Amino acid sequence: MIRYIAGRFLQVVPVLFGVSIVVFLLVRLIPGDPSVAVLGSRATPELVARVRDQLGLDLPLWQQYLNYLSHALRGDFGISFFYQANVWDVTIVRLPITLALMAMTVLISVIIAVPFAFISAVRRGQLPDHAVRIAFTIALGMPVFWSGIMLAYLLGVKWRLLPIAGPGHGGVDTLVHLLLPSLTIAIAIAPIVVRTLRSSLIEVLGSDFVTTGRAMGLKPRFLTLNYVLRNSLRPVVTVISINFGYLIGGTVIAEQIFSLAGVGSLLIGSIGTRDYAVIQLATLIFALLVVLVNLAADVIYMVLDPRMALAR
Amino acid sequence: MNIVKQGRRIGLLMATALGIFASAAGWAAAQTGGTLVVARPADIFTFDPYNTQDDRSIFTELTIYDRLVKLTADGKSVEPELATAWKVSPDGLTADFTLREGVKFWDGSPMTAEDVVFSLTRAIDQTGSWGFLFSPVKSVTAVDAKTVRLTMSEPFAPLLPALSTFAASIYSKANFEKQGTAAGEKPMGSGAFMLESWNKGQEVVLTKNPNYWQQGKPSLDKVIFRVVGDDNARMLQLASGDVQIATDVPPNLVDQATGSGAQIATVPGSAVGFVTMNEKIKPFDEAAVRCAMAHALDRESIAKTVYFGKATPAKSILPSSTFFYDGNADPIGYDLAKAKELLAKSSVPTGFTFTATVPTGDSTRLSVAQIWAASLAQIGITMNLEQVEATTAQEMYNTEKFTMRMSGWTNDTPDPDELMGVALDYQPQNGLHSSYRNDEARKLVLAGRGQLDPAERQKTYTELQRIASRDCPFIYTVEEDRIFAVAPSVKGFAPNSQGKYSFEDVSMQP
Repeated sequence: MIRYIAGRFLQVVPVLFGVSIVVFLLVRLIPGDPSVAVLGSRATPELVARVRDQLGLDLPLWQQYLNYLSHALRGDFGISFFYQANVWDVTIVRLPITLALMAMTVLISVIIAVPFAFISAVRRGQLPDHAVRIAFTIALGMPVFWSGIMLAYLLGVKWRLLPIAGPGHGGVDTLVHLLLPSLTIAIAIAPIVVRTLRSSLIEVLGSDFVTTGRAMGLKPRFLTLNYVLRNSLRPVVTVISINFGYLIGGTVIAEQIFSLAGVGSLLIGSIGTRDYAVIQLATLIFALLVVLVNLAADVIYMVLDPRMALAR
Repeated sequence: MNIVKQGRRIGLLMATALGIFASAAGWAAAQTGGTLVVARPADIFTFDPYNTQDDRSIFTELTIYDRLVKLTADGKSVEPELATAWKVSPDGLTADFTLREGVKFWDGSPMTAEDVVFSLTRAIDQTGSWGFLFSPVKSVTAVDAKTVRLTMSEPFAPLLPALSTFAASIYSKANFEKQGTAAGEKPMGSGAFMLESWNKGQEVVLTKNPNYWQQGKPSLDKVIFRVVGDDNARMLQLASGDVQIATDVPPNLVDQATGSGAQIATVPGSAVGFVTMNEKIKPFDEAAVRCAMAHALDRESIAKTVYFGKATPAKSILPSSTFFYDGNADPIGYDLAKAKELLAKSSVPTGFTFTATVPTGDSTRLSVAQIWAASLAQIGITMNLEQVEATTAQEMYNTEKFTMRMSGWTNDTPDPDELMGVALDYQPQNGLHSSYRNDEARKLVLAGRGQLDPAERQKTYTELQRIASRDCPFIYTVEEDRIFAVAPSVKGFAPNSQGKYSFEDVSMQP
């Protein structure tokens, strides 16, 4: 198992390498460079030339990439043109809040999804099942920027239940501040989880070992928690890890709405201002997260389902 | 039962007493103190005026630094700030400024002539992006400890308004040299609020300057500029009490803000929307075509429907708060008959088809363009709209690869020389990239810069506005108000046309 994990870790390297090339080229394909973004209408040819020279944008692309790569390998990801500071410093301070937001989103999605999926699966084809499926289909159709604003209005302004701005002052306060943003993204993620968990539950509920368990007179609660749920969770882990990229997209929007200075809002801002170095590092971090989450998912499979480990 | 009643009465008494005490405390607090949180759509980039490009940084620099002079409350002239008096020589080539005594920077060190010379010498640097505001100023020298002299190559009428801009902010030379490359992040000014921290992308925290030269000011303890990118989120945070002022309120959200109890503060006449046509593309090289299109723009209904009344039809390319603005210099109005008549005289009498670019995300300008396209269709002109990402649109404009661009102009200085100098003098920026070339206009622009007699200058700028309405190199749309939503607890908030918030005069009730 350890060898397997180590092998998977090694696969991270070519993935990140590929992402770095694609992103490097993509940001340079967008018309308009940092000199345009920062100078706006006041861009005179002399000022543009000065800025381009400062950023090394006059060099051929391959040379720019090699420069970037050789520095990046030594841990130097360049200077943010807009913040006039080391990109690493600008980006890393924003990572904890984004990670916390993602973790809470996953947690809330599962907390919402599990009971409803159960109701749906147990009362399959009946009214509760239809109600759950319709409600979550509607939730799936709500764009994050809209549901975020509605939640902020209802829970933050109208009923004054939860804070809607900023990251709070650390500890529990920060967790409370993160409730609404994570709930916003969870509303978009939970329907996918419900759908997967429901069909997985239906399959497991109909399987022989459950019938056997029932026949043996196991208490329903014991049977459900120890046999049914555990055996149904594997597809959920898969679907969350697959949709992790989508979740990152959600954090980008939620961070904007709820004034959280995370990596997502930094990335969006930097695309507008063509802050190449920041875009490159932020996407690398996100790519790394996606890869690590998928790796973690594999490990969790083995914990949930020892047969997987044996198979290897 | 009696006891219970008694208990209730005591409780009532206590509550009353507490209430009186609380309101007394509240009254005292209304006089000074409090933290004012301002929600703005984006962060600043720098505190160094020399490297500043964006409005947010400009407005913030106007808050933390002082300048030799400032705009009067009515915005019509300038009055002393760090300079108490000034004298321009009869030939208009030197100006001496007497510095205010007892002005200290945030750290308590005195502001000296040396600091002023240092700050202004950087400001007039012609290789910087704002040097053009001071182009005839050749040097800044200290005559003595409290007098600074500006020497010019020719008489320069816009000098005082230019010195009231953020670009002429005064800061500590010692601090700037000590900070080196970090000077843009660690400023040292003499303004009412000093920088406590800048958490990039999140907030700028300013705190009361104990050494402020105006006795008894400011009232607020802290001012925080928080970044809230989403328009709706700014309004919600205002409604929930998380922030007290929301800037950049889109016109369509004004009703929502007032509905939740906020007041609306506007700065009318500080920005004008206009359309730039690329005259390298036919038939935009013909004044008749451009003016026909200008007459086909229904400014009234745009102000009403797109801006919900928070705009007025523009009558000049100059915003109306500009010095020497003339609203009667043959303004162009909505007149389809006139438009048809003009088009009939051109090389495309029956109309033509073209594509205009609008930056994505700018729903206001897109609506303006759609309304305009509908009336252009009535005179035979088909305007297709193409939405392009903002920085890409900017690049197309800068490299003159655009057909038609919808944008706006905000004055940095109230003097007309800034806009006229780049729009109607083709030399510096090819007439704001329109390729409009008019030697008569250029001559007037240069003359206006040197005319020290206001009456004479008025004639020059009236004539220039007349030319702009005759040749239509730029089609002005509406004057856009700068809109703020302000919590009722905030008193005395009156931003000026330069974007200066003047928080030293603001107080808060609890």
